[in-house]
Order: sequence, then structure tokens, then C-alpha cells
Amino acid sequence: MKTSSLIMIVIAIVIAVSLAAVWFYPSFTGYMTNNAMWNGIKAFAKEFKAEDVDSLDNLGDKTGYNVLISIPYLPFSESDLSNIRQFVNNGNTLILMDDFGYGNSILEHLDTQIRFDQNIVLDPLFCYKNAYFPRIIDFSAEIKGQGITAIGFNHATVLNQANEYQILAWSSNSSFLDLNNNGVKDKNESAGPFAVAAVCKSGKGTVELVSDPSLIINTMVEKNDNNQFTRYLINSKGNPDSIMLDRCHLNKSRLDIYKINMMQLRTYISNIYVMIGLIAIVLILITVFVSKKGEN
Amino acid sequence: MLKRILISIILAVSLLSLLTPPAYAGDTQEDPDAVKTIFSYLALMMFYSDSLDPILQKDIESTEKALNKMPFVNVPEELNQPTSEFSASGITLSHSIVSLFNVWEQENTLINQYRLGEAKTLGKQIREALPQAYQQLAKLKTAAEDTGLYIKVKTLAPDNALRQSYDEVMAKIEQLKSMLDLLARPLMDLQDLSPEQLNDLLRSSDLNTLAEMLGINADQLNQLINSNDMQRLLDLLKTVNPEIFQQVLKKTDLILEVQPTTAYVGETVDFWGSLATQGEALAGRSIDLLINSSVKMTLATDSEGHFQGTFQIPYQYNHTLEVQAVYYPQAKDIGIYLGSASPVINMNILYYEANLLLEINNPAYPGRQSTLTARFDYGTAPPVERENSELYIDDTLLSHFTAPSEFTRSIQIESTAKTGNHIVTLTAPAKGRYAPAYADCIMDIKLATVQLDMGFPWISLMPGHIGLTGRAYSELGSLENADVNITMEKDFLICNTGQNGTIATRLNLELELSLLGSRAMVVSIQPREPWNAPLVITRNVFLINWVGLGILLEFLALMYVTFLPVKGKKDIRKKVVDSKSLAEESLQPEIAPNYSVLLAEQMAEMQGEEANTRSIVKWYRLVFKLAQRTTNSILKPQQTLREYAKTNSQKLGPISRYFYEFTLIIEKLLYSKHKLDHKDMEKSKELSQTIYEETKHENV
Repeated sequence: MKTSSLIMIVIAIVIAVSLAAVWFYPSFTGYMTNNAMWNGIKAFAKEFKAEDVDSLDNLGDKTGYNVLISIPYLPFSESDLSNIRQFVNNGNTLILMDDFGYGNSILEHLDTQIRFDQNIVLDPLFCYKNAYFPRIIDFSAEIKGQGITAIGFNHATVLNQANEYQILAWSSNSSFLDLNNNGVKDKNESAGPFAVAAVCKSGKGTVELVSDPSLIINTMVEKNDNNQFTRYLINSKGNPDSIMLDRCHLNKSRLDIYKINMMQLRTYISNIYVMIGLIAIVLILITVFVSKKGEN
Repeated sequence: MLKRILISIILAVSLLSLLTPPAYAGDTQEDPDAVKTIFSYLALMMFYSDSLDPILQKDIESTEKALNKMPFVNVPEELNQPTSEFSASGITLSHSIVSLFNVWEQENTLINQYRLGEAKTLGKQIREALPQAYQQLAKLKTAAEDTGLYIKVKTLAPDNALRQSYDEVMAKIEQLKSMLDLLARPLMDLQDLSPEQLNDLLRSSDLNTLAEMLGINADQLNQLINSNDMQRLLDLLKTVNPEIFQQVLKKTDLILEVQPTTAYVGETVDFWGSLATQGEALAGRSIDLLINSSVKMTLATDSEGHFQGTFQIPYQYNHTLEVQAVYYPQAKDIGIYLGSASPVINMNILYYEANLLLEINNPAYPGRQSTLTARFDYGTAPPVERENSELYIDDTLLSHFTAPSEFTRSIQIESTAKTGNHIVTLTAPAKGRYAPAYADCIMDIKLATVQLDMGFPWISLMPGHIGLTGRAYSELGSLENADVNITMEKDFLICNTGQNGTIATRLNLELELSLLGSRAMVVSIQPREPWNAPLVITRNVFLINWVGLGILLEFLALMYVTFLPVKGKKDIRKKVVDSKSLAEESLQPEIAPNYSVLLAEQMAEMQGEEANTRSIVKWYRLVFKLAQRTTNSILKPQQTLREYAKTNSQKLGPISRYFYEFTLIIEKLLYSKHKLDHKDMEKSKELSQTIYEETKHENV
């Protein structure tokens, strides 16, 4: 066998193995719908039949009542912000779950006064295991009416400048903002209660804010009443026609990018005309190869 | 083939490594199932204390709001029962206290309205409900004590923040008890009447009405009075509506004033008031002054029914204070006057709070000093020195000192200190108008990572030795006199590092049975300094037992000589010879171009031909070398000299013709029987010179 042939075979095998690995190897990146590990949101996506959105370009054209869940860990372009504004103005709901990301850029663009504080909130008493997992137990009357008694956060922040009537949930009195990240409350660090979930109107639509996106990760979604609370946020304005997850503003590993590309490719290939074209190309290549072999 | 497989493997690995995605690790969350559980007993005790405030303030809603959160607190399993008990009894007690005080207030109002019958019913209600309230308070106290026992709060220093918080809880529980005690005292009581007072009361009452109410006739009542059977009379009176004594029991009016109503803690406040009945001053009566529903002091009214005094605002550092005065009829007043309470006065309390900022340089190392910086920020208040300040590492008191408003201290970390996070707490007790201050910060104690710069051989001979030189150090400096233990299965050595942590030693390898193989060399370093971490590193060394291998080869040779048959040996020898000659042939393809020339030389010498022939061959060798250098091409094994000359004619340029001609002459000499004559000799000389000259011009 010629060296060039051997190299070609090796490359072909490597590509095949890599594609199979990319397809079947699970994602480990946080907030990915195909990540079944502790930090993924596979369980949430399955439960709520939420679909990934890799571009916000056609968001403004959506008909019916829709919910967009955004975990803004990457900066937003002007076009993305305009699309989100259009989406909300059309009467849809934006659920913005952020802690230390770019949520404030959306809020600024939507002209709402509420902001994510971006300092970590700790609660050494009302928590799951330790202060970094605050347990939220104070809710507005409407939330209490849903039978929600507690929700669990995981490395969260708080909301600033929310009006009393906008607030859906507060942290406890023993919570505090750990400004210097030393894990304990210093005198200069303000103590709770702080707003951690709120709702506000924007145009014809609604913006729901939660100061921790970890609420919906696989290991948190079943804790306390997190699932019920998320269901309330999604269905508070009626049953949505679609629930979309903004995947384009999430940090992604190379594996995730490959997976997304492969899925897009699969969608493209699944088109009947493309499929016929590809089969034709393969048949032609096989014919050429066989005829050449015959000549030799 | 092996080369190709190797290339394929390298290529495959390189491609796969290029395609392998790195794991993305986010830091905005942690796996909740994998994190460590950390309880905050201080937060729990502060929550206990804060939850008691609304009970003391008779605020049921706030009490419930606070204590209903108890099931969500993060506490060890052992504290589930006490915390639940605290919550449940706290809520019930709050309801009881509020209800009892409401009834007490109503009783007070009814007494002032002379609705004594109703007031008596309420008084009875209070007395019946009080035991239950005491029971709830006892449960609350037990729950708090059980929590304190679990966290061993009594072992803590009195000024420890947790201990202080616990003591605060217990003080508040005592305050609650004092409130219940207040309720236990009746504002109107006919049971404690003396025989004289009873006589007076009966004489001034309408006996016919009284007899009717007692269910007896007037004669029977008179008989009872005359028989002096006072106990029976008192028992009968308990059942009667006190309103029949309305004419004889006088209501009292109690007024209280406090000045100023806004004051700093520790300040002395004036209060005054008066007690009167139906416009007449009541002199020499005891008045209880209540601070936050607990009796602060008792004082007597003067001849004009006035009372006055001062009290100091307690150093409790709460922004509100309730002040009230109460008059309970005592001794001769029982059966004559009714009790009364003044309206509550809410005072605004002021005090200074300091923000205590605490920092420590992390990481800290066992056996070394760490620097702590503290600053009391008093805002606009004047800074003061805080006496009896205490510094703790976890629960261990480190020092007791007077803290200036800003200071830096060195903390000596114990050599045996455990690594990990430790809480450094600075407490400054209250001082006058200055509320207590405390702050804590995390001190991360760790061991310095030891590095070993040492070159390890990857191969060594056995028996023999491995020379090892290197240096052990950490981020805190060199490891001096550290114990170094180097082992390689049975072989080992123990030595110490020298100055600057240097190591220079050699490990002797003794003879063993194994012939070849990789073996782990374990180097463990135990530093003398408590701040340096021990180090254990393992390296593999490939050992060759040269003695064993020599013996084995010798043995095999011996076996061969001894046991193989003669024919076989011959065959093998033949094969060896054949293979040697084949190998020689195949190993020297490059020298083929000169083979014919060499052979010609040999032939010339062997046959004893003329010196001319040798000269021609020599000239040709020189010319051939020149041609090789000019064309940069060597004679291939399969090529003849003529073919070489033809193939490289273009590269040789103008001399190619002369070279070809010379080649034909030399081929004639080498491969034919033709004997060279003088003419050939001359021609060869001429050709070689021409070629030499031509190439000289071209600077070859």
C-alpha cells in the first residue's frame, strides 16, 4: 500500500471517529441542553420542551405568544438587542436569568430601571449546604398562591432598583452581599432582604428577571420548588406557543460548537433536494472509481 | 512498513488531539451534590435572638414571619428538633403574650370604667392562661439551651461573638419571663383582703344585695359576719360579682412623663408622674416603672401623689424603648383601690456603630507569621480605643488587648495548625455609646508546595549506581536539612538536603535476578520546616542487568557449542558466511561507482602490467571525480561508465565530449583484451589534461 493511500485512510478514519465522538460525546458545558451532567439543562429542556435558538435574527417575526429564556453570558450585538426589544414589544415574554453576565445591557436597552447587582449574595442560615446556595423563602402573594415555599439558588446575585410591586421573591434577613468575596459578612457589607426575582412590563410584553440562572441546571431544577417557580415564570402570562432558549449568548466549548454545526448540517442535509444531490455525487464518484480501476 | 505505521499513528494522534475539545469550566456555579456542608451557628443564634424581638414587641405577624422560616435553616440533623421546638413554642408564646396583654389592657380599661365584674372575668382569664404561657416559655428556653449544648457555647469565652449571641438570647428569654410575671399580678384582687378590710368592705356594702348575690338571706349573712367565719365569707365572695363593691372600690389614674424621649444609651432620663383617685392624690403608693414590659424599678408616691426619678437607658443598642408605669393595689389598698397602668411612652434610642474592617494576608503558613489589619470606621463619631478586644482563630482566643481605631498585628500561626480555611474573628465589646463591634475574615492556611529540581536518568545499569543531584525548595525558600528518602524496591538511601536545599547523593543498585525492566524510583522529602509540604515523586528508570545478561549469553553460547550437531553447525556457519557476504554486498552500494576502477587497479597490479596502464587508470579516476563533482551525480550500481558519461553529458557541457572519449578508452582497457599502446597513453594524458584545464576555468 502506498504511503499516500495509508495517510488518506488514516485521515478518513480519524474524521469518522471524530464525527462520531462529537455526535455521541456528551457536552460538559454549563446550561447546554444536551448536557446531562450536573451543570447542564437537559432535564429542564425536556420537561418544558424548550428549543435551542442559535440566532436571534428572526425573533421579531415570531407569531403567537412565545417565551424566550436568556442566560446572557456573552455580550449582545446591537442587532440582538433590537430583536429582543421587538420580541418583547410584540407581547412576548423574556425570562432573563443572569448573575454575573450581560443582563444589564438588555435591561438598559429595554429602558427598565432594574439592574443585576453582580455581587455575590450569600446566606449562611437559609441555604442548601452552605452560604453559596441561598434558599429563597420570601415571595410575593401571587407566588405564594402557587404553593411555592422555597427555591434554591447557586452562586447568585441580587436585583437592584426594583419596586415593591415588581418583586416576586426576596432573600432572607441573614443574606448579605459579599463584596470582598471573603465568604463572611463584614460590617460594610449590606444585609438582606434583597430582591432576587422581579417582573416588569416592557411595551406589550413582559420581562421576568431572576438573579441566578443556575435555578434550572440539572442538579438544581428539582431542588425545593425550582421547577414550579420556573413553570410559573413561563406560564404566568398564559401557555406559550413556544419556549426558546437563547443558546447564542452562552459560553460554548469547541465540542458544543462542533455539535451545533453538525446539527445544523444534519438539518440542511435532511432537505430532500440536498439529499438527492448528495446521493448523485456519491454514485458518480463510485462509478468513476470503478471505471478507473477497470482500466488499470 | 514499521515507519509507515509509526507515521500513521503519529498522524492519527495529532489529528485527534486537534479535534479534541477542551472542557469548559464555568465558575458561576458549583455542583450542589459535591459541595461541602458548612453550618453557621452564629447566624442561627442571631436568628434566634432576632426572632425573639417581635415576641417582646408583641408583634405576632413578624414573629410568625420570622419563625415560620425555621424549617428552611441549614442546621445539622441533631438540631432539627430544637430548632422546630424553638419555632413552634415561639409562635405559640407570641400569641399567648399578645392575647394576655390585650386582656390585661382590657382589664385595666374595665377597671377604670368600674366594670369590675367584667374585669374580674378577664383577670381570671389571665390567671388561667398564664401557666400555659410559662410552659411555652420553658419549651422555648429548653430549645435554646439544647442548641447551646450542641454547639458547646458554654465552652466559649464570654466575649466570643457566638457566646454573646447566645447570652443575648437567654437575656431576651428572661425578659419574656419578666413580662409574664407582670401579668401574674392582678390589678384587682379581693382574695388577699385581711379580716379588717373585709369587715370594712362589708360594712360599706349593701348587705341585702350582697346576700341576694351570695344566694343566702340577710340574716344568714349577718350570722356569718358575726361568727367571724371569714374564710367562708371570702370563699363566698370569690363567686360574687365585684361590681357590688363599686361604691367602695376606687379607681386610680396613673400619669407618666419622660424627658427627653430621644437619648443615647447610658444617658440618664428623667421621669415623673402622679397617682390619684377621683381627683385626690394617693401618697405613699408603690409605682412600678416598666422598661420594655419588664419592671425596671419601684418607687413610692410623695404626699401629693407625685413620683419622680431617673433611669439610665440600658446599654442594649436597640433604637426603641417602651416606658410605662403600673400601680398595683397592695396591702391596705386592696379592697379600696383598683390598679392602673399609664399609657406607653416610646423612646428613640441613639448609639454609635462602628464598621470594623478586617483583613489578613492569605495564604498563611503553619509556623510562620501572618499580618492582620483592622480598622474601626466610626463615621462621624469620635474614634476611641476599644478595651478588652479579643482576637480569635476559630474558637481559640489568640490575644486580649486594647485596640486602637486602626492597627496591624502579626499573628503567629501554630506549627500544628490544620490546613484549610480558618475564621479569624476580632471582637470589641461595647463601650459606652459605642455598640459592640466584631468582624471576621477567612484565613487560608496552607503548606508551601515543595519543588524538586533533579535530573533523573531514564536508563541505568545494574549492579551499579545512580548519581542524583538537585535542589529542593518551595515558594518560601530552600529546604534545609530536610529528610530525603530515595527508594527503588529493595535499594534505598536516606540523606538530608544541604544548605540551599541541595541534594547530592547516589543510589547503589545491587545485583538482582531480573534482567531488564522499568522500575519506579520514589523520592520522598520530609521538610523540617512546618510550613513546607512533604513531597513524594516517582520516576521510572529502565534497568539493565548487565551481569545477568552476560551470564545468559554465555550460557546460550555454551549450549550452542555443547548440544548442536556438527552438520548443523556447518550449515549454520555456511549460512553465516553467506549472509555476511550478502550483507557486505548489500551494505556497500555506494562504493559501486569505483568498483571497476579499483578492480582495474588490482588487475594491473596483479598481472604486473606496465606503469602506464596504472597511470591511465589514475588519470581517469581523477577525471571521474571531477565529473562527479561537476554534475553532482554519482554512478548508480546498474550504470556502466559509458551510460554515466552519456547521461551527464548535458551537465558536463563542453568537456562531455572529452570525458566520453576517455571513458571509451578506459572501458577498452577494462573490459577487452586490447593492450594499450603509446598512442593510447598519449591520448589519455591529453584528454585528462584538457578536461582538467577546462574544469579549472569553470572553477570546479
